[in-house]
Parts: sequence; C-alpha cells; structure tokens
Amino acid sequence: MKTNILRKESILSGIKRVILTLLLPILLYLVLVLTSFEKFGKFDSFIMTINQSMVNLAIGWSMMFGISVNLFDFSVGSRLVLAGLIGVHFSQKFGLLGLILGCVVSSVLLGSITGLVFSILKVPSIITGFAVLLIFESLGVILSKNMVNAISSEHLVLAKGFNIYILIVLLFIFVYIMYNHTKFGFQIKAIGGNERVATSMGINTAKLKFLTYVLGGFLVGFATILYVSNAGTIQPKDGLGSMSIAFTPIMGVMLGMLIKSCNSVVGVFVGSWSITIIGSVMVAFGWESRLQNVIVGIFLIIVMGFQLNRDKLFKPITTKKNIQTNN
Amino acid sequence: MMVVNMDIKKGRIQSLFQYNKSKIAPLLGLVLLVVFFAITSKGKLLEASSIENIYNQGFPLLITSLAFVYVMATGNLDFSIGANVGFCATIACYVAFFNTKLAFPAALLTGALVGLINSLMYVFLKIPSFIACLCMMFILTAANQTLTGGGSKMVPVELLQNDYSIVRLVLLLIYIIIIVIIFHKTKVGKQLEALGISVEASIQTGVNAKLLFIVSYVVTGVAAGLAGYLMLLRVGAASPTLGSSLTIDSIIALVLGGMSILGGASSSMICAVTGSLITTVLNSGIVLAGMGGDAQQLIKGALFIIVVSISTLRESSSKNF
Amino acid sequence: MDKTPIIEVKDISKRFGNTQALKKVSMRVHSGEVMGLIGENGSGKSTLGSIISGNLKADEGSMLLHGEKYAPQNSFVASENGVAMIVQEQGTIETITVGANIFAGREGKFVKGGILNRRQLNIEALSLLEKIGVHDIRPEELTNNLSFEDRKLVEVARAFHREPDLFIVDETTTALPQKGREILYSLIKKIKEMGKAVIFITHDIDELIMVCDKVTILKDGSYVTELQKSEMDPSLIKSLMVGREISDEYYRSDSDYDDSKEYSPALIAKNLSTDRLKNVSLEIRNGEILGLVGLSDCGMHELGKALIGYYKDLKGSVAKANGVKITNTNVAIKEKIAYVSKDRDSESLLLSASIKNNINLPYLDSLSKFGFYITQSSENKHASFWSKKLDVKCSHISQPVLELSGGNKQKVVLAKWLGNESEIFILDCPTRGIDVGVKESIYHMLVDLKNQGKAILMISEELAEIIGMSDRILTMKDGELTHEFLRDPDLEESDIIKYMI
Repeated sequence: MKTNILRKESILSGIKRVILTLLLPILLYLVLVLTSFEKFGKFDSFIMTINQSMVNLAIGWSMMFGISVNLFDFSVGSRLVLAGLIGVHFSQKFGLLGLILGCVVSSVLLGSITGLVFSILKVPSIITGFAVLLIFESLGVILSKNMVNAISSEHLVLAKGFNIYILIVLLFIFVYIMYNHTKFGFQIKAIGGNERVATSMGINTAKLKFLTYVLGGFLVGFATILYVSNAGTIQPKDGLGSMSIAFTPIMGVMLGMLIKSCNSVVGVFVGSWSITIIGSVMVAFGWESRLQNVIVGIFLIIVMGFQLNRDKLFKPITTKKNIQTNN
Repeated sequence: MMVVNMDIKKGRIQSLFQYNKSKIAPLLGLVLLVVFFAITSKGKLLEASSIENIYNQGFPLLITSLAFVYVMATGNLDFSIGANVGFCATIACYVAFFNTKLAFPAALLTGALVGLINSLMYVFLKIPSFIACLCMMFILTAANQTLTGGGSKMVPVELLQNDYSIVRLVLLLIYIIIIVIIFHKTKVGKQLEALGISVEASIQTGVNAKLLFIVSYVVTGVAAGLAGYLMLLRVGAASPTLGSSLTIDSIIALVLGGMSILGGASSSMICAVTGSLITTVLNSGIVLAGMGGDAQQLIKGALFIIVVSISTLRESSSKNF
Repeated sequence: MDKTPIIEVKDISKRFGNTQALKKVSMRVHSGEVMGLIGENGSGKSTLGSIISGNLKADEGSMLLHGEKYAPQNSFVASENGVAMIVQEQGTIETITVGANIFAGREGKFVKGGILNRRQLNIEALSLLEKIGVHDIRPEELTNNLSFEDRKLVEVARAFHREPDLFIVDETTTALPQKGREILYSLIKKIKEMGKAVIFITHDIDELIMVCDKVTILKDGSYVTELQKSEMDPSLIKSLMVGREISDEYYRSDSDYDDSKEYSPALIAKNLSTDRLKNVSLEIRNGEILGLVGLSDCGMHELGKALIGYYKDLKGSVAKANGVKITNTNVAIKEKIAYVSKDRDSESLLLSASIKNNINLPYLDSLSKFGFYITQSSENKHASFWSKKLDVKCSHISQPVLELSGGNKQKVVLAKWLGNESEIFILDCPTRGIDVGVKESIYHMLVDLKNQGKAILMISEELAEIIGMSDRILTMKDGELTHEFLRDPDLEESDIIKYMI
C-alpha cells in the first residue's frame, strides 16, 4: 500500500507547535515567578501548580465531550457531590474498591439520567442541567443526613504520591483515544461542527448526544474519586452551591478548545493548568483569591470575543439566534 | 360598525379559551396548590401571617420574573440576573454610607449597566448570549463575595429609617404598572415577541433587532437593581448569596406560569405573576406542611421537569395533525 | 426488450401543498447511459432527482432499482443502495478534516477493536480524491481551509465513495465553477465507461447536448418526451420545454405598454454589487408593474433583498424618489417599502403568532396613542379590517398563521403591507405555491395597486406570469441585467428565455 503518500509533520514544526501550546501557561508562570521568586522559583512549586489543576482537569475532560456537541451542563457539580457521597458510603463497607465502584457506577447512572431528561425535555442543555441540579443537590442534602461524609485515611491513597499521576495519565490515554481514535469521537466532532449536515450524512445525533452524557458521567466518576481523595471529605451543597464546582473546569475547557496549536484533549490540560496559575498569581499579588473568577471570566470573554470576530464567520451555538443583518 | 364590534367581542371570548389554554392551566394549578397546602398545613397557609410571609418572600421573584419575560420572549435567557441582584444590593449598601439618597439610583444604574454589558457582548461581540451571561454571573458573584468579604455587610442605620413597607409597596406598584404597560401596550413587547418567533422575519418587517435585544437585557438589569435595593432594605445587610437563587427561580416561575422557554407567542406578564405565586406558595407550603425544607429544591426541580415534558409532548403531538 | 434498466421510475406524482410538482412521470435509465433531465423552473426536474435520491418521498408511483422495488427512506439509505446525488443543501462540515467529511457516518469500516484507524481513513480518502481526478486536496486538511469550490469537490468524492450505480448531478443547484465542471464531466465519462448510469439535471441546453446520451423533457411537472442523442437540437428542445398555452383573462386585460402615461420614479438603485450581483442599476416607477425574471440562481432574489437594505456589504446605493437612502430594512419599512420574500414561511411571517400580530407588526407606531400606548381595540380594528378586506379565510384574527393554507398565508403577508400604507411593493415570487383562486385575486390586487399609482416590482421564475402582468420586463443572468422589454401582446416566452440562459 502506498503509505508514504500521507503528509508527515516535520520535527521542526512539531517543536513549534509544542512551544505555541505551552506558551500561555509558561508566560503566566513567569509572571508568578517574577512577583514572588522565593516562593515560586523552585521546581517543586512549578509541579504544585500542575498538581492543583488535576481535579479540575478531570472534571474538564468529562465536560469536553458534551461541550464538543454544544451541550453545556452545570449539573456536573451536583452529580459529583452525590456520587462522592455514595462512593464514600461504600468505601466504609468495601474499602478502596467500594470507593471506586461507588463513585463511578453512581456517576454513570446520574449522567445517564441527565441525558435521558435532556432527550425527553427537548430544551437547551443548560436548562436541563439546572433542573436536574436542583434535584441532585437536594438528594445530596437528604442522603448526607444518614451517611458519614468523611473518608477514612487509608482510602486516600489515590491522591497521594505517584498514584495521582498514574490515574491522570490513564484518564488522559482513555480520553485521548475516545476523542481522536474512535468512531464516537469522529462523529461527535462532526456534530459539533454542523449538526444539520452531520444528521444528513447519516449520523445519529440524538443517540450520540445521549452517549456524551453517559461517557461524561463515567469520567465524572473518576473526577469524584480525585475530588474526594484530595479533600478527605465530601460536603453536600444546596442553593446552586454545586455550580461553582463546574465553573473553573468549564473555563479551562473553553480556553483549551481555543488553543489551536494542539489537540483539544491536551488543550484542556493546558487550559486548566493556566487557570490554576492565574489563581496563584492573584494570591501572589495579594489579591483575594475570590477575585479569580472575575479575572478568568473577563479573560474568557476577551478571548472569545476576539476569536469570534477575527474570522467573521460567526456561527451561533444556538441556531435560532442569528443576528447577522444590519439593523 | 356595530356588527363588527359585536363580532370582535364574540370572537374575543372564544379565542380567550382557544388560544390561552397555556395560561389558564397554570392558574388552575395555583388554585389546586393553594387548596392542597391549605389542607396539609391545617389552614396555616391562609393565616394572615403566612400570607404576609408569602408576600415578603415572593416580591423579589415577582420583580425579576416580570423582567425575565422580556428576555425570554426573544428566546434568550439572562443567567446573571440573580447575581446581579446581590451585586446591586452590595453597591447600594456601599453607596448608602456616603449618601443614603443615592443608594436607590445607584442600585438601578448598576443593574442597568450590567444588563447593557451583557447585551453588548451578545449583540456586538456575537458571543452566544448564555455564555456572556454565565461569565457575567460568575464575575458578579465573585465580585460580590469580595466586596462583602464573604460575610454579610450591614447597611447604615439611616437607610432603614424610612417606612420600608410603604416604600416597597409604592415602588412595586409603579414598577408593575410600567413593566406591564411597556410589554403589553407598546410596540416594544410585541416586537420582542416577534423576535422570539423569527429573527429573520422580524428584521424584514422593520424590527430593530439589535436595539431590542439591548433593551431586553437592560430591563432585566434594572429589575435586578430594584429587587436588590428592596431586598437590602428588608434584610438590612448585603451578603454574598443575596438573590442568587432568583435566576433559576425566575426561569422555573415562567415555565410553571405557562411560558415557553423558547419565547415567542406564549409570552405574557400573566405567566410571571402566576408562576412566581406558584413558586412562592410551593416554597412556603412545603415548610408549613412540615414536609421539610430539604425537599424544596427537589420538588421544584421535579415539577419543572414534569411541566416542560408535558408541554413538549403536547407540542409534538399537535404537530402531527 | 433490452436488459433491465438501472433505475426505472413509474408514474411518480408529488404535490407540495396546492402545487402539483410532478404528474405521473416515468423514466428509464440503463447502464452506461447519461440521461439528461431538462425543463423550465418549476417543471419538476429537481423534484424528480430528489425523489430518486431519497431526499423527498413520492406521493404516488413506484421505482425499480436493478429491477427490484426501491423506496429509500432518506438520502443515506439511497446512497447505501448505490444512488448518490450532489445537493447544495448537504454541504460539508468545516471544523473537521476532509477525510472525516468524506467518511462521516461511515467510519465503521475503519474500526478494529474499537479503535479507528485514522491513517487508513486518510489513505482511502486520498485514493478516492485521486480517483475522481482531484490532486490538490489533502485528506488531513481542515475543510475550513478549502475554497467553496474545493468543498464541493469533497462532496463529490463523498458521493462517489461507494461507487454509486446511479449518480445524480443537479447542475441547477450545485453551481460548480469551471474547474469543478471539468472534473465533473470527466467523472461522468468515467462512470459511463464503468457501465453505471448518470442523471444530469440542467437548464443549460448546450451543456446538456454535450454531456448526455438521452434527454427527458419535463414541463409543468409532466413528462413531455424523450429524445435520443441524434434528435437533440437546441431549438427543438427549447420549444418542447416552453410550449404551453396561456389563458389570457387570468392576467391583465390590457395588452399594450401605455406610453401616454407619465411614470415618475419611486425607487432608484444605482450600481448595486454583492457577491451575487454585478453592477445592477434599475428604477421602479409609480403606477407601473416591473417584472424581473431569470433562473432561480441568477441573483434576482438577492436583488429584491438588496433593494430593502438587507445586505450589510452592499456596494452602490438605493434611494427613494424623495432622496432618502435605504440603508437598512428599518428605514425601508419606515419609507413605506413592502418586501414579500420568496421564502414566505420563514422570512415574511411569524408562523406561530396570530394573524393579528402579523398584520400589525410594521404598523405598531401608527397604532400607538400619545406616541406609545396601543389599545387592544385599535389592534383588533386594524387587523380585522385588513384581513376582511383581503378575505383571509380564518376562524378568528387570533388564530395562529401556521394553521392557514398557503394562499391565505400570503394574503396575511399582503394585508400586513397594505395595512402599513406601503407605496412601493417588492414581491419575490408572490404566487409561489398558491392555488389558482388566490393567485387570480392577487393578480387583480396588483392591477388595483398599479391603478392607484403604487410602484410594484414583481420577481418571478414564471415567465407566463411576468409576461401577463408586467408593464416592463427586466431579464437577469449571472447577477447582471441583460435586457429590457416593454409590454407587448406579441411578446413570446422564447424571446425572453434567450436573455436568461
């Protein structure tokens, strides 16, 4: 077979791509080092910023598939809390295995329920997300009354030492393959590009959208394990409190998808990492860490505004709202 | 001429039933809900203190959901409205330390400005409206947390010296009259509704789409300012979570009140009134009936899903004919 | 009897609302044949292609593919059966690669153990592109980076991937430029040599004669005849396509251009250019019906929209006789210009809104008391007056427009603009998809408006209607105005067609 006819990337352009991709976090980190060298000049603290972004990264990857097909779902936080409570509960009976299975199985279930509600309601995903969020938050509060919500220390191993890297690398491989080397990944990218055309090409859009919820749930399960193992405890939230869990990861995903020089899966890592560094920069400047969301929000609006208006081919995410004419 | 008038009257009564089913069903629901909770709470729901409580809890929702109709009519949503309420309250609180008279205009102005920025991001930067509003929501929430220092910030005592309940009633009435008239009796409301049905057809019929999108977001912004100020007076302190539930409650109220989330022809102020009453009665009723506050969110969420799926089913079945 | 045809179409009929698009059309295409399908706009040739390719479903009749019953549910099923069509509506997905576009929905064949072999996919995509004679498109390239023309070729490759037994090319909608055209011709030749069949839909007679072995001629949705290559003659085909009788009383009763009258200009357009229009200047005059005719992709529909200031990137100027420049649709409506879109349901009407709200929408300013307050009674009065005047058949003015028939919907659109006291009417295909009764009343109305001194521009694909109604006729081709005719009883359709194609 004529295999060499396909274009191969040269090593030079490969290096250029890596540099372009890592430009943002490296620059941000430089700012950090300049503001407080004694604190951030060490390699350890560099690694620490990566460590700190792990949980958000895992959540980000779980949302990436949905966002690829324009599904925005803020119920992720509430599902994470609920799955965490169940996982912690099972860890008391069945140990580490109970934690892992409890988190993952319940999270897949909760993701599927959300996907089901989405396909029944036929309203924007963000609304569906809010509706199930109310229910899941409430369930979390009710459940936590009869359950222990702290995890015993011998079950925290997954967030300790090298274990966390192993887990993240395994997740990365899984997500990378799913996104880039499966039929599923190909088809969701097609749907994300143009849903109408994809449907006419014979892709089952409704089924795939549901599957992104299921897959998202599966990945949230692992994010939950990291979240719980990191904190050692899981607290129920109500009154939309769980939404904040999803916010930073979503910012990371959207930032990551805007980075054109690399694959989106890597992009989400770079995005999540960058946002963690922004947080550290703010602390280093002596600003309140609460302001982080303000800066990140404004940052995202600027980046998106720039992206959308640079190439004037603006395509609205929701098909209805197209204001292209000249009123 | 007489005949024509008779015709119109007869037709109006007919059409009232034919084309307003989606507005009458929620009213019946409200009545059933009141009856249900009146019985389960053993009459407590209808006591004067409960009714006053419902009024006290319900007015911010009434304010925001009435304004939300403007945005939802065009098929957009304003996710920042709740955070905006809290932010306006905090700004008003700060301003009140300089001058108590300026606190109210400051709240309104802040709200309007936030709404304006939302709409400019959408109309000129072409950022999808829900992303623009979500970013705004997180920016405002974080700003509000920073300003209040994470806890509550008491208002100056002088601000509380006016007779609060009368001020509130007067402002509320003026607000309702203005917002209802603009929506139902001027071209603004009718054009917003038209945009919700078809942006393309509206533009070709001379509707200034960009201007109206801006107007709709400024209206929700002003409403957030008003609600924020009045809540500040009632609570006596600004706090990071003040008003934050109003976004989702407004959406739920409008949907329970019979309005379509996609806006358009079903848009009406009645939806906001019925819907916010249903939501508030539900909130109080659950507590009064001793069902436990934890289930409140659960019941609201479940009810929302049920109502939306019924209307989705109805729409898809009517399309088959 | 010769061997079984690849496709046999038997007595196919199709209605759209009140229009009969196809009436019992039959056709056979054998292997190694290129069948041309030709007819005027609205003759049903594209509809027939869409039915064979599964994009539309026939109301009556049957089809046989290789002698077996064939009734595709959708275009995907059709292509799995070896019938492929290039249609404009499909398009490509710009955010994914060329290779992913070519195999979208069929990635399954590259999957082994759950993993999709990208390399294999790209290699096959490349050899497919090579096969159809495209050498400069890379399968790893993002489709977004390709030109419009190259994207169309990606679609051709996609359609060709299963080596369809029947390949349908709708030239009237694909609008391929020269390079793509040559690739298409050589592809058609190749398919023919492989013993497969092609249906070639076109309105270009010269191209048809060059490419096709046989031609089926359609007229008003009916089969006229089938010609062999040896019988093909441009003037014969033309006369077979057009030849129809026109009932005179249907249109205007007068038949000459009235040059005793003085026509004052109402709307003046100068040097209009967009990507579809080339330096178009025209004048719409009071008391005159101006007809604009051309093929559907000639740019005349865009011209209608350009006249109401719809396009942001329009070069040139549109001004009313009073000097007001029409810079956007808002000004246009304030200046009492009415525009009826060809795409009535999605552009001229708010379907789920009531008749009342539709009629009142442009007139809300004038209904307002003290400059802002609109009473229910003033709304009802205005809407019911105009819906009665135009005899809109409805149960009540609160009835949603979507419940009405096509003709009544169009009446609502016209009521809206008459109610707005419009002075200039730009009507794009005002009688499209409307039954004869309503059509006639619209023609009467147009004459009334003309007599009241209103200015009317009627854009239409129907020659008979244009000849029957217009005082002046402009023809358009490839974005340019090509000729002007004055009203004349001796004017023939064939005279006008010359300037359209």
